[in-house]
Amino acid sequence: MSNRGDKPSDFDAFERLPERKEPTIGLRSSVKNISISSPTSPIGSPASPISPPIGVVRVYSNSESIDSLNQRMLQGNDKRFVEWPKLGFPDPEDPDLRRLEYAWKSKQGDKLELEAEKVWQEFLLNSNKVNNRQKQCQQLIRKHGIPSKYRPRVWMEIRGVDKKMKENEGYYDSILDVHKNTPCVSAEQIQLDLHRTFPQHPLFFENPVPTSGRSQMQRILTAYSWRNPHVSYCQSLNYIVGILLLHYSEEQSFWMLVSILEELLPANFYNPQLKGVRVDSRVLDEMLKDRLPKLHQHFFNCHIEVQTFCTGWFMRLFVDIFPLETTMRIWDLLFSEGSKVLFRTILAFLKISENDLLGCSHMGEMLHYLNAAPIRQYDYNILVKTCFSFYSLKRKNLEDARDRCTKIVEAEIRELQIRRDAARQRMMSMNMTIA
Amino acid sequence: MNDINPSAKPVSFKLVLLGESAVGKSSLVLRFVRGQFFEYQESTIGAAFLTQTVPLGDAVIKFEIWDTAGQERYKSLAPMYYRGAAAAIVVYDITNYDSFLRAKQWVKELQRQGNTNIVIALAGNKSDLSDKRKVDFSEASAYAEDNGILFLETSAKTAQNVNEIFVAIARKLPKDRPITDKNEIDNIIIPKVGDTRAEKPGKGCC
Repeated sequence: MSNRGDKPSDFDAFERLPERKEPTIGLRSSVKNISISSPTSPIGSPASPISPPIGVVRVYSNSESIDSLNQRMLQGNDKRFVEWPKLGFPDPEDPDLRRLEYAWKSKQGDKLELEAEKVWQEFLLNSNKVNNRQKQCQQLIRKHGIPSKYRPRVWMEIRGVDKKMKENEGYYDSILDVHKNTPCVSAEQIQLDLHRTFPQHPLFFENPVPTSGRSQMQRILTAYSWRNPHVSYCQSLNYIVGILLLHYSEEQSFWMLVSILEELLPANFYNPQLKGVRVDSRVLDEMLKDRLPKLHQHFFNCHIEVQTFCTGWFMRLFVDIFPLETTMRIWDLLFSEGSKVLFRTILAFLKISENDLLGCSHMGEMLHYLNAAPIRQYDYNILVKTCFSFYSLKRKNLEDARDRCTKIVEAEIRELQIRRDAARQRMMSMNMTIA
Repeated sequence: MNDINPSAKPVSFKLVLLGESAVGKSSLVLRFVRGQFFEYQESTIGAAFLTQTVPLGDAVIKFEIWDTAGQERYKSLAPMYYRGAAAAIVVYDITNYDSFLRAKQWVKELQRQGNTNIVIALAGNKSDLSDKRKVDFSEASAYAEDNGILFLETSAKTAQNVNEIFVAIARKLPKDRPITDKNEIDNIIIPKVGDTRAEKPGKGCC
């Protein structure tokens, strides 16, 4: 059972924005202020690292799961379910990370979020659609990011997903309905990954009963597989859909996914050879050589191919690579400025970490650093500032680099195929000889 | 694992894990490296890097482990991770026959494309689920013997044979670590003139 009983009038919520003090989050999304026993405390109030006081909790979720969320919160099980900046994820297991997270939130994070909320509230009160003031919106995103309460709406509008949904009303239901009796080629892999996606998050819990997030994720991934059989399903899309479902209804999440895969990222990014990811990994290697030559040489000296670690970063769009709020800040930029933000982010992170990495003396040490350091990058401000401060990245240059690297990757794919075919031939002739 | 001779300098070896999706590659590594097991282990995207040391007589072996993603399309990335590897664990799930067939393909690919002296171990994982078994022990064992590779049935959940498989690999590795792999020779780096960073004494990391 899905929650796809669309009411077109919900779109009007966007249009009516100027009359509202607090805009709605998006189609069929709800914003509810739920008072929980403790006194009301604004987002910016300091909290204990062990049990942060909860006052007003904003719930951003779709109508299907809202009841169960409310119920859980009223039972006091998951009081922090949708509280900024964790969107319901539990505290990190590592006590060191817990300390870092708390320190960041209480010293800077809360303050920055409140500041951003003020600025955005004013901006949104004066804009029917954020796209009407695109340049200003882009500047705001660079400077403040999007506060989490406005994120669902702003992401949708800057990607034009609200419009796309309106134009394709009924599409999502029908694509699932048309194929309901046909086995999906990726069904097994999707099924395998459902219980392995954010198993620690209440929306995706298996026990005591499987929660709605899983069935929604299954339908979204299956629907996309039908929409684009060439890409079908690639592991990592489960994480992206997981994050979208924390912000949107099922159908909205589907259309956001469509926008990411078909407009934001190169078309072949997740194709069966992962061509686009491999191309972009090579492009990154070129950029690194150009912008941070000393570090590039050090990777080379330590026998590390940049592709070995950046592939997963690209594919996950940084989910679980950086802390959640840092990743969401990168997504703000990604939706606003396009896929070049992927390169900017990695280069900025490497720039910030350059001295530490140059201090690592061998491969193991460097890779350990690259495993452990990004998830400690709570300070998204420095990351974002570095993104736009130490080099320029022109769209045309990126396109040229992608064209150049596509040729190399295509040659690699051909070569590997030739080797695999030759080996198959050898095996066949050996079998014939034995027979 | 903790009883390491402090005076011994670890000898590092690159090890790669390959196998179909959800056979338990990451769970095996996490059991070996951190002694942990999660019923719902998150799926690996790209590859994960971990290290663990194994004391072996007077020597200490340090495994630099690349745990790869299992979905078929990630196959195109695999050469990047097995290139220059001294050892590989090819994992299948004893309750899934197709995963055994896929493991055989990985063994073939490693024998053709990998390091010429690569030590390969086949791991029939999820041995705790023997009531759902689809791959006979004898069939896998015979296959491993025919191909001259190590074989153990393992359970990341109960820890059965997990350390053992890594130790068995460690025993077969050349401790003087000769360079025999063509790729590795190709990859030897001649430091640039004036580059003083090529070799620095070990330093604590992160």
